[in-house]
Formats: sequence, structure tokens, C-alpha cells
Amino acid sequence: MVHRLRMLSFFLFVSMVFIIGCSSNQETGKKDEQAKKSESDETAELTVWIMETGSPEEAEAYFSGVTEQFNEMYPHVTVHVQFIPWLSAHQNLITAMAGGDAPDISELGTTWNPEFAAMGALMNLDDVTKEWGLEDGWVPALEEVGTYDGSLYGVPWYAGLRQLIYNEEILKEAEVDVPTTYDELQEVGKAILEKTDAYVYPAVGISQHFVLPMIWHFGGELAVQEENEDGDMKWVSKVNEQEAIDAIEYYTNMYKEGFVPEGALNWSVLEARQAFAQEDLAMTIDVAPGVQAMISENPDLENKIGIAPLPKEKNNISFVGGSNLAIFEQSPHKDLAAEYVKLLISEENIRKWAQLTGFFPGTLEGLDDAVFTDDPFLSVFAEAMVEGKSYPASPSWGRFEGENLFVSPIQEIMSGERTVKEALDDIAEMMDNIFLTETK
Amino acid sequence: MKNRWLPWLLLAPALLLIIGLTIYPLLYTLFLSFQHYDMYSMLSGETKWVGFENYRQTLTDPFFWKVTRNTVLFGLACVMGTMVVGLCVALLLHTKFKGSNILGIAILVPWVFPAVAGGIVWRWMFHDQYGIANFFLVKLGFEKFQGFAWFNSSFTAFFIIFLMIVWQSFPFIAISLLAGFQTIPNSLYEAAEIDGATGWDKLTKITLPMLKPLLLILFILSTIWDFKIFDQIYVMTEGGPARGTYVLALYSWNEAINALNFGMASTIAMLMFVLLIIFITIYVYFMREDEAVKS
Repeated sequence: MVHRLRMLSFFLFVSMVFIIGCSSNQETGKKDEQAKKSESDETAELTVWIMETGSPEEAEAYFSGVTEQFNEMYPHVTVHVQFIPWLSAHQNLITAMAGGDAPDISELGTTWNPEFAAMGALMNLDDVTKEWGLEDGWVPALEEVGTYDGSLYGVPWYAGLRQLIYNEEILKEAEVDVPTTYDELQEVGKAILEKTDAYVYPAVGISQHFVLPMIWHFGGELAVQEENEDGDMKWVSKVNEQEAIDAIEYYTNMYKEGFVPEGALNWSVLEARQAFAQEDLAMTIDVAPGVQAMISENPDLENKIGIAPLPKEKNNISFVGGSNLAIFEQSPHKDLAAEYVKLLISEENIRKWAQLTGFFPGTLEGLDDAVFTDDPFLSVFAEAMVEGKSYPASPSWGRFEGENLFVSPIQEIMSGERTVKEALDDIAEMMDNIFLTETK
Repeated sequence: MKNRWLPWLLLAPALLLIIGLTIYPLLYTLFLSFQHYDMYSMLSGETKWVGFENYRQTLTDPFFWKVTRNTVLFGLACVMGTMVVGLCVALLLHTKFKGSNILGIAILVPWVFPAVAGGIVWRWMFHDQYGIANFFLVKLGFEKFQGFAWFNSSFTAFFIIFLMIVWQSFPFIAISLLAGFQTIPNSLYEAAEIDGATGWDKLTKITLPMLKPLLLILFILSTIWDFKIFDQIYVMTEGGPARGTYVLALYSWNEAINALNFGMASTIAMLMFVLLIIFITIYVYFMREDEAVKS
């Protein structure tokens, strides 16, 4: 009873915390002496929208540090940094844009970047990045989603990806090693179910970030750009090709074989994290801050937790998500905004922000640091960063996610309402119909 | 002579507010429902008049009819559930036992509970692995509920949402009815007792008929509330599993905010508006019939 109650109160807590950005390193902001070289007497106000993090005070301190650096060059420019919650950010941005009241700079979830670029809301950053000498040098996956129609509309800021997290003690009890391939995962799973009372792998109903990369792993694609009869490049869905069918079949079979409890049909990343933290789940897939969150919920895990690359079939590419920084076309001070963005992605600042949020810098120079590459824990994530992929950079992708396009069909397969082929044909048709509405 | 413009002048602030906040959005939604208005229209301002195309598409979509059926059945179930529970609680409080005043205040708690917070708490309580509901059900000997996944089927998911909605809306009904009871003169009950009426007779022959106008208003209010339910479902299931708990409000919101298809979203909103008007007309019809009998 006590155990159950503790679990319950733990659950309450975890759900409340929701998204935890971990942070610890708090270097005091060194002032950049070089910045002093030219003082401008321009007067203006800049509005910057940043997504809320798990540690609001540190984020505020960070930004007042950056603004201080900025004011050394532009003493008469006032910078308003506003923190907005992730959940309502998309809606807020849309409303602000439609009302002609967009911020000068905003952090954008990577999937929104092509969408807003296609709407004509964002400033083309090709020229300024050339000026900065940074045309390349971005984490490739983030650059890809920042690019629309051959031009850059969002600067990669920070990135995160998911790796396989496992509980060494449960694997030991089952007398197995971490699976490196999907074939091994089958055997490991059976052993865990047989010899322990833990569940195996997060084959949950509500998580596209678990299921979609598996299509890549099995050699498939989500969508590709193809030339149509008129010679225009159009996105075409590939989710109903054989590789994708195999991948989804594998994923949903894990659910049907009891690798997760029955209720996992409605589990999301949060429930998977919680079950792993409770040591009821032998393996999960999570980002670096997620691992920190699980350890802080259950300190016992600290010595049992292991991190490995995702299992492989043809490859084991991770999905790279994160945030870009974009300047809005509506901004009356684009040059100043660009200067502020430049400051945010400068080597020291971008690294500090990555550490504060628990993610990784979006620039290669920021990523190339012992903090990330030599840490036994973070390096597993950092190593997969450059190879990692983003979802197709189509303006419609944000809509697919918003509409949970990849959730309902997976749940229908899991509950046996539809076959994999039927469900995927349906998704492909919906995707293609929406792709057709894209103007470019 | 009095200034004939003065009343209008004094009414102006309220009228402007009503026009600005309800009439204009309603007409604009109607206008949008005949437009093709998507994410590309938002900044360019370019829209296309498509006549009844949005309506044709929506009305021929089987999913729309499934959602409409869900909305009507679920809405009616919630109205009935709320009214029955509200009436029972009101009768209980009306009997004046020791502590009934405290109980009267205590039942207001669910009503003042924010809908979103309530939804989150209910979702926790019915969590398959760590929820307190399954824990107690198993303790009581129902082994079947070990790890029972309430939100795996749309029927059980709707059932939980139904319980939550009733829990949250019955206090208002109960308090309103309790106030209504106090307007009925005691002499009626005394006279009935002399004629040998039972408690049931008093309820069905005196209390309820006397409260018919109040009951009708409560029915109308509940119908409006329960047909436009959004928060609780959004928080508890987000329309899942597999879009099984979609209702019209959620559907319209999804079309607007996620699909950025404002034309289609407006069409759904207008159809939902029509649906509500139909139900309210039915209620108002009953009410007028009632008045006709009286006069």
C-alpha cells in the first residue's frame, strides 16, 4: 500500500514537472571585451520570444547577461525577452503574426520553421549568415529544417536527440546485454518478460518520436520531394512503402506481445519516463534532460542507468529535434535583430545555453567541446548528433504533428481495429492530400 | 421633454461590447465558413470564396457524423446525469439534518475546481498502472481492474469524462434547485399530507411541477455547457484513443489551431451552433407550452 501510494504521489509530481530542463553549470558571464569596439547610438526596442525552460531564474539571468553584452554595442536599444510556454507558443505566434504584432526574434520549434517560412513570415537569413562566415557549420538536421526553398530562415540554436536508456540491474537479472539490433531486441525482450517482472521497451501509443525513426531504421523514408508533371518539387509520402510497413509492424507487435502494459496504448513519453523511473520498464528512449529528470525522481537509478545507441536494422539514425532562432519579416529592426541573434549563437553563449537547458549547441563549433564529447554520458548523444535526421522540412509537417496524424493510426493497429497496411495507406493519403495544398 | 438619445447613449457601452464580443465574431465566423482560409491566407490576407464547398465537404465526411453523434449522445448523457445527481443532492440537503449546512458548502468544491486542473486529477486517478481508482477497485476484490486501461476504448474513456463532468457540474444544479425548493409554500405540502400523500407523491406532484420553469432553464444551461465541452476532454484524452473521444468543439479547435484551416473550422463551429439552436428551440417550445397552459 505504501509502495503504491508513493508511486501515486510520484506520478503526481512527475506530471506536474512535465518538461524538465536540467541545468547546473552557472558560469558568471564574462564580458566580451571585443564587443566594445563600436558603439552605436541607434535607439530601438527589440522583442524576443523564448520558450520557457525548466529553470526560469537561470534563463532570465542568462538573457540579461546576453542583453548586457548587446548593450555594450548598442546602448540605446532596449531588449524585451519574453518567456512563453511551449504548449501555447505556436498559437501565440500565429495570433501575433496575423495581428501584425510578431516579435522581432523568436525561438521556433524546428517543425514550425518551414511552416512559418512558407507563410512568408520569416526573414531570409542567407546574407547575414554569409556575413558571419557561418553558411555551413550548423548541425545538419537543424539546418535542413531551417531551410525552405533553398534559403535559410532559421538559425540552429540548440538540438536534442533520443538514445536508448536501459536499467542495468533489470538486464542483469534477465541475463542479457543491451540489444544493438532489432533481432536482439526480440530475444532480450522475451528474456526480460520471462525472468523479471519488468516490462521491456516503450512501444507506446502516443509517441511519434519513438515510432517514426524506426521507419528510417528499417530503410524507409517518411516523405521525399519529387518532381511532378509541371516540373515543381512536391513532397510525397513514403509511409506506406514496404520498409515502413515492416517497421510499424515490428513496433506495434512489441505492444501486442506485452513489451509494455495494455494501457500503454495511451501512454506518451511522460508515462514511459515515469515507468522507467519506477523501474517497471527495462528500457526507454529519451533525451539527455529526460535522463536527468528520471534520476532526480529516483536517485537509486543513478548507478543502474546505462545509455546506448538505438537498436539497428539497416541503420540507427536518431531523430534530431530542437529549436531555431528566426527573425520575423514584420520586424522593423531586422539588422539589430540579426546582431542579437549573432550574439546568442556566439560560441560561448550558445554553449552556455545548451548546458543550461541540458541540450546541445546547434552549431558545430559549439558542439565541439570536451563538455559534450568527453562526458561518458553526454557523448553517446553528441556522437549521434551529426548523423541524426530531422523530419521532412515540409511546411505541413507541423500540422501533421498538431493533428496527431501519427497517433490515431498507431493506436488503431495496436487495438487490432486495422491492419498496418490499411492504417499506413490512410496516413499516406492524408499526408499527400495536405502536401497538395502547399503553394510551393 | 426628455432627450430621446439619452437612453441609447447610456446603453452604448454595453451595446458596443455585445456587438464587438459576440455579434461581430459570430458574423465573421459565418463569413469565414464560406471561405477557403488556410495558413497561407493568414499573412497574405488572400482568401477565396468557395460558397458551400466547406459545408459539402464537412457534411459528407463520415468522421463529422461520428463526432456529431458522440457530441449529442455524450452531451445528453451529461445533462441527464447532472440533473439527476443535482436533484438528489438538493433533496438531501433540503431535508435539513445535522451538518446539512456544512455539506451544502462542501459540495461547491467541485464546482469551483478549475476544469483543466480537475481533468488532470481525474486522469491521474484513472491511470492504468499508478491510478488510485484501479488500486481501490483491486483492493475491493475486483482483480480484473489490475492495470485496467480506462482510456484504451472510447466507451470507457467517455465514461470517465462523463463522471468528471457530472462531478463538476452537479453543485450548480443542486444549489439552484435548493433555492427553488424554498420558494414553494409549505402549506401545499401540509395540505397534501392531510390528503395522505406520500413523499414520492409530494415530489412528483408538487415539487417538480412547481419548479418546471427553473428546471427548463437549468436544462438549457446544462445543454449549452455540455455540448461545448472542450477543456476536460482535451486534458484527459486529447480526443484519443484513435480520435474516439472527439466532440465538435475539439474538432473545430483542431481544424483551426492545428490544421490552420480556419474556413473549415468555422464551418464546423457554425454547424455546432445550428445543433445547439435546435436543442434550445425544443426546450423553449416546451416552456411556452407550459405558459400557455397557465394563462
